[in-house]
Amino acid sequence: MQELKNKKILIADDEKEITDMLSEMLFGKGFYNIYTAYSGRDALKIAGEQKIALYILDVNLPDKDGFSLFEDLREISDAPVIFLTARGEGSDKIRGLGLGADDYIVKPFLADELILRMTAVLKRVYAVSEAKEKITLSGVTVDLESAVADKNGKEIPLTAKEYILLKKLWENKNKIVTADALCMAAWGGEYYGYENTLMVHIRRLRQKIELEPSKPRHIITVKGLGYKLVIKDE
Amino acid sequence: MNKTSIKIFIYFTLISTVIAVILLFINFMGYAYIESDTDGEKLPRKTLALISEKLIETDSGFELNEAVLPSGYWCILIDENGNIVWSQNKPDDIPESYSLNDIARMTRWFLNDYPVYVRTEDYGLLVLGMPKNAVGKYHMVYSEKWFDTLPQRIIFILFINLCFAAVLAFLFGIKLYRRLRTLTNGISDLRYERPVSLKERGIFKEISANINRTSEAIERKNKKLSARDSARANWIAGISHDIRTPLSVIIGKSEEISHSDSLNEGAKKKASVITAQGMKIKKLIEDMNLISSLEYDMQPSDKKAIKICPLLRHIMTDIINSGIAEKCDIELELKDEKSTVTADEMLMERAIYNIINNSIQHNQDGCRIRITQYTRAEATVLEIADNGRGIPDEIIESIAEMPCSAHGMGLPMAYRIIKAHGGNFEIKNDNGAKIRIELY
Repeated sequence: MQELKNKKILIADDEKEITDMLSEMLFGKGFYNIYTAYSGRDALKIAGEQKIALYILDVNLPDKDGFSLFEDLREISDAPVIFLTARGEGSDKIRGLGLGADDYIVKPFLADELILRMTAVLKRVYAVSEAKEKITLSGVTVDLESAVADKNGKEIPLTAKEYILLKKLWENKNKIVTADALCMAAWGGEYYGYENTLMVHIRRLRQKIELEPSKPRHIITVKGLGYKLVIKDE
Repeated sequence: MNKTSIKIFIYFTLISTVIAVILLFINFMGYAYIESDTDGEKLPRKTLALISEKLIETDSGFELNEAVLPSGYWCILIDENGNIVWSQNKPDDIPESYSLNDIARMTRWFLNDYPVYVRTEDYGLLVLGMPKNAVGKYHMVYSEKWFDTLPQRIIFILFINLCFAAVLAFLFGIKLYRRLRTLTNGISDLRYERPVSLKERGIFKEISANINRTSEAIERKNKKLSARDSARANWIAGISHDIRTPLSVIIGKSEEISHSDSLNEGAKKKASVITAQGMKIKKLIEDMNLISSLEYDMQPSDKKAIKICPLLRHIMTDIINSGIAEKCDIELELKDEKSTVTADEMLMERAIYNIINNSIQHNQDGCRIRITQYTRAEATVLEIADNGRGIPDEIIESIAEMPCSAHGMGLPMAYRIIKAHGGNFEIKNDNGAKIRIELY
């Protein structure tokens, strides 16, 4: 985790209050390498000099909008980008993340939420797995790093799709994940057309991680919506 | 649209035809009347009568004391034997005596090229002569059959005339019709506030010019109105954008304080209240901005084809995951997984969320909410019904109006979003609230 926090983060926003507050806040949370820029030009300059690991860009910058800055940045860096936006200014564009941005957050925002999302993006992009990324279920543990389920001492490997589905559910544990989101994650397609495939994969996953696959206690079907990974100990 | 022009055109043709036929009839009657009364017949006959009245028989013959003959006229009196017994102004080339043949020949026609009229008296035959070439005399003969079929033929001729008049009126009317059509098109364009530019010439020059000026005036006014509206919408967008930055700082700082280790619990709690209230202001600003943009542009900016079923599942999941619907039993029935609607996804999500959230918030003791989706004809239909307390009548009545405060804005906002997408929005109470949406 500390490895992630040592990464260089660039905040580009023309409001000094925001950049100050963000860098102070992030510093408080243990992110020590924060760079700030007040314009698109400054941001590009810093991006050229430093190996930035994560960009937090305001959509409204004085010299150029965040989207064109994003495109310019893409030419020199592949680092993930989180957009800061006031709802209404191209938020749909970011929502689709058609640009390839990793996330967006609407101003004003809660610091906890921003940190959570930042960490999620950093983890995903820099693939730093935490030692504790082990799912403990009743009688079964799943090691997400090696994608292996340990059922009563017997090691059962998960297939790639099963792994993606389980990970998606784990990321949203104790919450319903729509069938659409699961299909999008696993096959990049719409639920319509993958209904049966999804059902089959969930059944296989249950056989691997549930003690009684016919009476699932963890992967719960929410009729008409999707599935929910129920983790009791939290 | 062109029905009016066609109506005017038909009316014009009919009127012209009727007028033409009436004129024809009047002329025919007038001609007949005048013809029977021409001077050609009237004057000589009158003169003859006058002569016969004034002619005095004396012992030495006949005498006419008054000058009754118009100049150039002459008159003779022939007795039973064919000899002239009296004459006045008789030209030299008129013979003195006449045989029966001569008399028979001249009675209807001419005497030595003089047109003559005769009048029989018991003392002889009065012959009035007119100057040569004064009148033409023609003899007409009609059979009885001709008189019998006359009404039919008159009707036939009238009918032919009617057709002819109609065709002529039609031909002349086409031009009028074309002009009228451009005029009526122009006026209907005006009604829809489309720009109109008619050619200002011909008989409708003034009307065309007036329509053009009106169109320009409407355009000018609309421009001013939309400029004012967009200025207001931009102002609201600008202000709400400006509020976000200080609000971000307030929320960020208060959050930091609420997590601070060096403060006591009471202070931390106060800081988290500030954070929560800040988030409330954030939501209000977002609502205000959304409403102002719906109000003034009315056109959702980012419309594309979206699948309604995944969106419904997503909204439902969000509601269940957020825990606001713990007391409610929500059922989702999707009948047409394939159906798509053209919409701004974010706005559509907001509208549907508002409707479901309204049911939840106004039935705090819990209720059943049933969401049904199906396709009918071209439309995707969404029915959201609950078995709760229902919606107050005044809210249903004023669904199209924005409330004055942020409270109770959910349904009017949903209504506006659906309407801005060209959809239908029905709301009623039937053992609870029932809302039916049709989207295309």
